[in-house]
Amino acid sequence: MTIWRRNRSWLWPAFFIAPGIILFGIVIVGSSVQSLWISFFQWDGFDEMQWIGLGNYIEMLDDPQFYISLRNNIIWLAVFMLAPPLGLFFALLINQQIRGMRIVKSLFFMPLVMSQVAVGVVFTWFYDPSSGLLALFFEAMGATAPALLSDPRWVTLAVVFAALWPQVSFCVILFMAGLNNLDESQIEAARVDNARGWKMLWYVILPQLRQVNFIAIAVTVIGALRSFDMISVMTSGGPFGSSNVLAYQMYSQSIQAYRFGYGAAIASVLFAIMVVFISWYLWRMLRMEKEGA
Amino acid sequence: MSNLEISNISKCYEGREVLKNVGFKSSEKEFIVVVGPSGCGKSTLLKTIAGLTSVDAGRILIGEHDVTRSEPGDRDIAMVFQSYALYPHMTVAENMGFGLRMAGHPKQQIREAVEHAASILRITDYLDMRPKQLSGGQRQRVAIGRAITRSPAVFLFDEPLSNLDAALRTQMRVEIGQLYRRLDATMVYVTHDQVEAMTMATRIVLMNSGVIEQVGSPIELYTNPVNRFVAGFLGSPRMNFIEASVTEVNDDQIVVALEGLDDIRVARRHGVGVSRGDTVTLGIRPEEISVGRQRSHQLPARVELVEQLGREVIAYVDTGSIRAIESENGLGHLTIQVDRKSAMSRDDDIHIGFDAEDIYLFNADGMTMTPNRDTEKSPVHEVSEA
Repeated sequence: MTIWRRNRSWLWPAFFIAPGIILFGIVIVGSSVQSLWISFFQWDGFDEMQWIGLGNYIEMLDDPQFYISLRNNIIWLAVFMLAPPLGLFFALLINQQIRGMRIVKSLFFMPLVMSQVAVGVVFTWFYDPSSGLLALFFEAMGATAPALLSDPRWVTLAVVFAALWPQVSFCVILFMAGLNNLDESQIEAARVDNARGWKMLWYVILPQLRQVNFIAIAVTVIGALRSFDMISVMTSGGPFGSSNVLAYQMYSQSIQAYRFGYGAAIASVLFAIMVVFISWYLWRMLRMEKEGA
Repeated sequence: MSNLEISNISKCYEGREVLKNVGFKSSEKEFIVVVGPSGCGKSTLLKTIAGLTSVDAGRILIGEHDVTRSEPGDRDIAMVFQSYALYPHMTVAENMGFGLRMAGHPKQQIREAVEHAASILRITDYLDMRPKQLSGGQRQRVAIGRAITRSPAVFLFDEPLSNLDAALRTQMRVEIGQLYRRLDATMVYVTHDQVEAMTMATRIVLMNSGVIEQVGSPIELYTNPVNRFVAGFLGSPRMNFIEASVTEVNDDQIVVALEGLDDIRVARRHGVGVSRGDTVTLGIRPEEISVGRQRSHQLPARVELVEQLGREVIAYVDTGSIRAIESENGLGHLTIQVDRKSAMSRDDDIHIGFDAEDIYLFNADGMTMTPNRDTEKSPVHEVSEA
């Protein structure tokens, strides 16, 4: 009893934190380490694992598909960077007090409510060159619609733009929450100080949205790097692997080609890229918290 | 020439009239304190002067220009907010210079203006700090500095001291008073604190539920309130109100009766309508009631509570027959304020008294029925120059 009483100041917190730590340890840390371990083997998922050291990584360096996937990931990242500014733009637009704005606002929530798979399916139909909405549009203009999803030159961009839609509305919602939390009296002070339009936005509004802006960018970066579901639904990486990204290549190598070792190696590389961004994120987070204190 | 003129301003919020035909005029360089209970519309009035809130009707003139529809930045005003409203991502100097920067002034000129304002407020040492690193009082100084830097025609203060602790509040009150004497500008200062109103104002605008009840110098409002609301709002402890009935009326006198007291004969304000049998409210300030038998009207009382304030003593007494309405403690006790030397303690039986000439009478509508008094003879001392 006395042992409990003497130590309860740390026993209680430990008791409540333990489930989270255990779960995180097994599901995230454990499987990451295991994945890294597997990447040093040749393994089809059933037979004996065969140690090949850095073999998988060396193979990756010579794999043209790896570079296509990497390049596509960079395209995803670049195009996705449109999401935060577009989100801010729409958030400012629909933040106006105009009658009927509520309906418009709820329209912006739509793509978030829908699952990514549904968004992918809808866009696949939209792009359909024979009967899709895009085809009808082109027909009306007297042109023939390009088959975006089967053209290696366009397919990645077509998928990214489909994925951009929910990402933008996610940013819209982040920024809308931020705009709702603006310090009203600061804006009033700025109005008295004669700040208007762009100056008001630049000097007074944006600095207050810094935290939100940072979260929007971080979430968008991570969203671009882990893109998977849209590719799976819309193209399965095709045609000829031209819309593949690292996450999807990892999946198709492991699950479809029974090459768990190689898949794990791709996963490890993707993880390494992510770590860079996540470290930057955490570092900024900690710095912000320090400034806030 | 007047540099601030507000005429017949009205403002509705969702069907509720928060300002009804509000108007006042200020000649060059005045310290106007707008005071009233919360929700009386005083902050809305200030925001309409600032241009942060539009008006439904009426006109606002600043320095002879009609600014009723102008943007806040074009009105030649500066405002100090209750929450300071400093820009947290800018240094103190950037905060103070922001207005001039937005107006496109050259850097050198901005720096001079900032340094000048900073030296007036003694915040030169903080110019490179951020608001977060400052204390509440320092932040308020910066906010005032931001206003000074722009050297506007009218300064607007929105309850600037209510976030400060008591000691700092007194200090800042004095400083703002000094600042006012130093700057060549009119100040409009909104507060709910009657002490701030009494001590700082050259003129008080007393508001209640969207209308101006009375405008005048602090001593005028204190000595000659136009109605019961003004009489009750200014003065702490507040005026005692007692219900009484009129027993006799003639051209220049009203006689009211209170149980256990001789008839009270008071002068009648010219032209005020009152008749025999009317129920009226009798008002008397706590400092006009004295202990002892030397006054014209006396009655026995029992001391219920004594508040020793050092300089003076406030006592709540039960007179049995005479009950105060809306009394401070809700028990119908009369409040009296006497010299600190008067030894008094709970449950003492004493005699209290007052003179008929110190009585105010208010009719059923709350209007004052007694004539104006000479403000010079008032027992309240003129606010000394700080």
